[in-house]
Amino acid sequence: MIDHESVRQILASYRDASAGERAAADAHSASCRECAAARAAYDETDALLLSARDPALPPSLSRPLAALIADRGAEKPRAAFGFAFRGGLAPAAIILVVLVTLSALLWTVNRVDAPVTSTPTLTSTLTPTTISARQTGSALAAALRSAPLPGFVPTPAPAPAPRGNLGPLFAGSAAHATMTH
Amino acid sequence: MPEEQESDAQAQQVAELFEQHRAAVFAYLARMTRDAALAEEVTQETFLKVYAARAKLPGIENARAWIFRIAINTCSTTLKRNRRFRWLNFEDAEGEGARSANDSQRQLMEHDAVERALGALSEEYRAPLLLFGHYGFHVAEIADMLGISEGAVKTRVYRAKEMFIRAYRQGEVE
Repeated sequence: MIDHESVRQILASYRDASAGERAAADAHSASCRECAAARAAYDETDALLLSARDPALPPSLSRPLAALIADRGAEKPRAAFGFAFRGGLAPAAIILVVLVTLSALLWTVNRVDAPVTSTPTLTSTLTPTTISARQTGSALAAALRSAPLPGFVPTPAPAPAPRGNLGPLFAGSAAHATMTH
Repeated sequence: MPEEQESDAQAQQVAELFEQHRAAVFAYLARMTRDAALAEEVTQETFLKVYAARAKLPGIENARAWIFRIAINTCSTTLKRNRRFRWLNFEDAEGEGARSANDSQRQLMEHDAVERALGALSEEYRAPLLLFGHYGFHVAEIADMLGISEGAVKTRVYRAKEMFIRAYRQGEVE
């Protein structure tokens, strides 16, 4: 059994319905007043639409195609941007340019007038645990003795045992410093 | 046939198609956009696209349906773009002339009960109704043009007819 809505859908595009659909819709609408009225309304719609008068052609479309192509071809360089610009891109581009210019100006003014409020400081997070230095000269030992660092205990380096011809290299060894935390 | 002669023959064919279908394409676009100046521009664009694609003509079975499909796509793109930029659109010197032509077109359309009833329908329903009822395209052709299923076309034509006749009768009473 076919329902009213399906029948009306078939009736609305009856021209393109299959033979089976037409037969079903015909049988139904013969015995259903509402669907018969809908059918009459659709037929009236078709008649109204067919009789609708088309608007007159504007002059630009009344000419041969060659004239249209010649015209639009002549404005080709504009067409690439012109079609979009006529659609409203031109104002958008103008606003964008103004905004970019203003932003650039503001940035420049801020950069020139900005006061120096602070100076950057570098903070080391390195904490040495043990430093061991061995120096051949006496400069380091002397420096450490005159201004010892907290926790920095200079101890005299043990006199190295002369070993072959390397002895002169260690002859001036003055300090062996150890710092412990 | 040499390539140049073939191209000439196709250009001639497009010129003939323009003569045959320009009025129908313009009328369809005017009813869809409700804007004569825009319809004129989209009609021009449509036939320029047809001309640019003329090499495809030998493989086209139904040139009228093909042209309408191009017109529908061009119209859809233009309407989307115009909606996107409407809030930014400034009136220019050209716009004044187009606007007065447009107003007279709108008056003509609104004067007619059929056009008024068509105008009461959304584009989603107006397009299949016009293509089916006024231009006589088949459901399968409309489905191809609008990029929807045949079932969807039938449903839209049915609902569009219901809405149209209601709007038309209401307009007659008023």
